[in-house]
Amino acid sequence: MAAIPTIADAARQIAGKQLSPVELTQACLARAKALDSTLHAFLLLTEERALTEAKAAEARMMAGTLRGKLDGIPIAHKDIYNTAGIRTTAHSKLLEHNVPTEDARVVQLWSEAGTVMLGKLATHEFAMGGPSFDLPWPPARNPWNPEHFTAGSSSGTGAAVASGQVLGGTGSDTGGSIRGPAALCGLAGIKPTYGLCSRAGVLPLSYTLDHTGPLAWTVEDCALLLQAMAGHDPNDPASANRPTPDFTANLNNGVKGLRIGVARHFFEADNRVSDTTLKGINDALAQYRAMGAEVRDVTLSPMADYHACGFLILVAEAYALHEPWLKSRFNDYGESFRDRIALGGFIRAADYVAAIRKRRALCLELKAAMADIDVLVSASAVGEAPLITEVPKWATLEKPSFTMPFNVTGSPAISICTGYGAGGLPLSIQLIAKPFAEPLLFQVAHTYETATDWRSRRPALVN
Amino acid sequence: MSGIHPGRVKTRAAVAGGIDCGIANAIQGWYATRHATAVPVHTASTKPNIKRGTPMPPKISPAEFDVLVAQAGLPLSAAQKHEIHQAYGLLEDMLARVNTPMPREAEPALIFVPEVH
Repeated sequence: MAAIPTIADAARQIAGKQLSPVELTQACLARAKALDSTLHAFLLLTEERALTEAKAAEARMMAGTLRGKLDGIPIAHKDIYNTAGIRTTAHSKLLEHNVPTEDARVVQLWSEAGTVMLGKLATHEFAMGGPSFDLPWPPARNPWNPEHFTAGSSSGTGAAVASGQVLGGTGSDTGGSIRGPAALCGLAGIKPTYGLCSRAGVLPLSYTLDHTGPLAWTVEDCALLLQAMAGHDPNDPASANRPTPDFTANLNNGVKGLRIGVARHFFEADNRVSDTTLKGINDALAQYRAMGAEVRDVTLSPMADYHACGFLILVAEAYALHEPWLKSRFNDYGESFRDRIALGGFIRAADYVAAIRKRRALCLELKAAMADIDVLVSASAVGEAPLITEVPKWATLEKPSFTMPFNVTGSPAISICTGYGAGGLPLSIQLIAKPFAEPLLFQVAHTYETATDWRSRRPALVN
Repeated sequence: MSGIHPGRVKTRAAVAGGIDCGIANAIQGWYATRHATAVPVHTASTKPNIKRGTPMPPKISPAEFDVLVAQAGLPLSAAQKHEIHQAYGLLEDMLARVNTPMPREAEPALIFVPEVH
């Protein structure tokens, strides 16, 4: 099978009429079919539609009327993004036959950009449960080793992108659901600033923590995908009404003179990462120093404070959303989702208010800590992906999450690959910027990524 | 294939907008009977395999937890109640973390914006 191009490479070749969007789509569809029984990345493959869209893109290519860099690029959407006339299930029995009448705003935007939609991707149930084995569809599996976990909840997107079934896809991130799968599947995945991308038409989990964003093989590809999904949407009450910057403009500006803060206690004390993950982070920091950045440690509140604040808000808001079904159809949910969300029924109004007051205090703390730094560094994950059968149901409560702090603060945060561990599975680092500083975040992430050769390796099962 | 357990039957069936990549739950049968023309492709997991871990012991008793469940109105079985009660200690720890003293005037992160759009 042909090599899997990045979006940027494919766009260049399509613009030069050297790559057929139809052939590119056919190659992705062939991979999706070949890997379906192993990875379960797709819940629904929309082959006919994909080929129709690819032919239209090819016609634009031949006519010289391409819509931009995403025209003809195969993508897929997490199955919580509404797609008109196409089943959208949240990977749940409760929505097994749900067919929306309208596209989510982000689906519309990517469609207008000329992307080719291959289908709907697996998720943890309603973007929170999982991994679950008691749902109508099996959980997605990690392409680097199908015995292992993808993380979630954008599990299908992680699996599909890493294995080249699509070149990019949508995720959503309420406590780490983009950055987690990016970390364990060896991808770039960005949770943009809260309000940058519309959530209209995306099944909600927690109104004040939900973010939409892309996952892709490279940082540059994430920037290209984000460019086509960012922007004000009056139908999303949280949408920020501000101009969208050029996310690729600064990619090659390097890091000389930039100030990088390191939340070292997060990953060395609060939730200690594996030795290989720690080495990956320290090597990346050494790389940044060598390229002219100033690196210094910063101290924040314990990560458990951020995690508690985020989790309580999440589970209270999710419970409020799901309460009618929890009371009437409790056993139609998978065990993981229903048991976790049930906890939200025991949170008092005073506790919820305490959590959102705490949230502001933590936002102010991070703002002060980042006043004289450009980018903050933390871990994305403890280490390599665990066995999918070894993920505790209460894992999301037992140890503070590396990703949740930046859902609490709404900061843009990206996970990128820092190599591979002893098990051959990816390692990762998380970079965080100030609100709406995505161009700088992409710049810093791209600088590291292109200084290493981690992107030259794909999972063995796609080679 | 390793990691794939017998007992569920993979089906492909035409559904709204595309080809289903779903797994029919052979035990419940509700999916497979609905797609009689589906072609089995492979097998996968049949049973929940959820590692339960060792949550922090809760401070409240099972009887006190029963009251919370009754107030919430959730239809939990005794086993479900026990399972969630075991994890309640983790929630108690989180509640303690957010209920730290703050100045009376400390505002929440979210405030009402009158210019609703």
